[in-house]
Amino acid sequence: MKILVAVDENAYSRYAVRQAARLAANTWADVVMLAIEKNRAYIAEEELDPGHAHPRLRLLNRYRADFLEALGPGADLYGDREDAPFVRREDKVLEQDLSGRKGFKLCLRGGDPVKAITAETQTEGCDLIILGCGHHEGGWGRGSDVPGRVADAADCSVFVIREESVTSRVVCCLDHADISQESLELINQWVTIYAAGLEVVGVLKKGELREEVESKMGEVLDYYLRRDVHALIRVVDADSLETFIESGRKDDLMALWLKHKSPLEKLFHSKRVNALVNHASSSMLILR
Amino acid sequence: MDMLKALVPVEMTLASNVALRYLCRKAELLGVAVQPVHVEEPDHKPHSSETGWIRRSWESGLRQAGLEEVQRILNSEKLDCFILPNPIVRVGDREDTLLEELRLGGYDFFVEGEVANFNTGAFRKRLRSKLYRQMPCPVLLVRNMIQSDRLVLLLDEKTDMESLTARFHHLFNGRAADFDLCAYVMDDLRRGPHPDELLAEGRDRLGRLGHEPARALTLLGAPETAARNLGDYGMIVAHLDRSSNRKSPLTEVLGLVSSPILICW
Repeated sequence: MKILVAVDENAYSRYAVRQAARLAANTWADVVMLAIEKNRAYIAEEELDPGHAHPRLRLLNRYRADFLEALGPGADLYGDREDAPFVRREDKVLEQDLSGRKGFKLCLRGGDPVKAITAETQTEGCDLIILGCGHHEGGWGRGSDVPGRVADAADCSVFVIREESVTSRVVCCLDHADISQESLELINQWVTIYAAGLEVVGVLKKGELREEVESKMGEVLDYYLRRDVHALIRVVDADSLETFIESGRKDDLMALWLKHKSPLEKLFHSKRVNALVNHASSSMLILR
Repeated sequence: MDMLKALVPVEMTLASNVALRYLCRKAELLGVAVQPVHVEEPDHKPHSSETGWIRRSWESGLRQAGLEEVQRILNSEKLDCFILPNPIVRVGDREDTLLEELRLGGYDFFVEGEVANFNTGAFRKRLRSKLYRQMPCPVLLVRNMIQSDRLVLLLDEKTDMESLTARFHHLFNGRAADFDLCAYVMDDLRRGPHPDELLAEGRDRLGRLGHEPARALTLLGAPETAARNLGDYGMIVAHLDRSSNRKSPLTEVLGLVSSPILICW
């Protein structure tokens, strides 16, 4: 697994970095940490050292230290090198490869944060994007809706972590049968990391639980019970799904299995995924 | 100590599967023998109104298919509890058939599964159904496989204490059930009876039958909050009045909880 952790200067990013480290400690995933800066054509870059020309490189290094600290005893997996230089890639991205036995890169991109995050995810072939988010608003700059737009635009899974939420329940909404083993394991990881309860919620279409969804819920339930994860099942009407997700508590993690052409995807198409992620009280995990 | 006899519909649904597995896990706690039942509901195409041997052979085909389905489900689950060897398989209306079997078979309780909905309308519809309004024994409605063996008797102002405690005594007498007593009041504590009075009466009646709750507690607040606070219990036991059609805070709580509920009438 490869995780992209997108960071900005707000405290929620530091929190997200620490949560990403907990996942990395359990899965030994490769990690790319990405910061985004404004494009500034007026800087004579060659006359300055990188640290002065790009202050966010220092931010990335601070977050890297946080990441290694949160990893604890497993930190040497990700290397403790300090000397690797920042190099300019062909796509103008500044990159520092600090990999140990597992991959660890710091990247700095310019431009629009949403485009930068999705482009870096594609370049690196990441499976999961983790980014922090303020409560009740997206964060990432005043009036910004970056987390929601990333959740909407990305092809891979996206985890938007609200700052300092102590997750006690993971709620997974399911409306189709095409869910991957990796997504089940990812849920399993977060349930274990947070020592949280798990609820699998099937979405009713016209008051009925479709046969394939019902049978998939049975399989998901069995999967978790075999791993001694205490899972509960519930259903929710498609009409009240949006309200249900929005009413998630601060200590919930709402996971949505989105699939192209799935009713859930249609229901939360485009701006609605965006609004939902930005305005929910709970952390949101979009599984693809 | 006699074994209790439970009638359990075995169907190819998630809810039925969860109910059967929960019941078998709690078989020791409840001391229960499981009687599987399966009702094949005929469609309403013209052939079902035929009479004579055509109808009889068609019905026997349906029955055979139903029996095979029940055997397949029971075999695949590898259930570790006492299941009576001859599943009952009938063709007809589900509610009428189950009611008839419950009346004739002398069961201690009826068990079925239901996947909980955040909208409690489905639960209220179930309570209004002919089967629930007329069944002669308590029903255990299983929503999840909760591991905890802790029980709670949930009381409210409309609870018929005599009926509830008598049913509880019949089902759990002599079994080492660890149970709490809980009074639920939504808002106004000034309206009688006060939760403490409910708890005192419940404790008194249970004491006379030889049962001592481990804890007595009061739950205050909206049904959603109360339902969440009851999440740790392996079973919630409550009494409902079948003659009242009114939506009550207690039915809302019971509609929302994730744990299995044993409803006494």
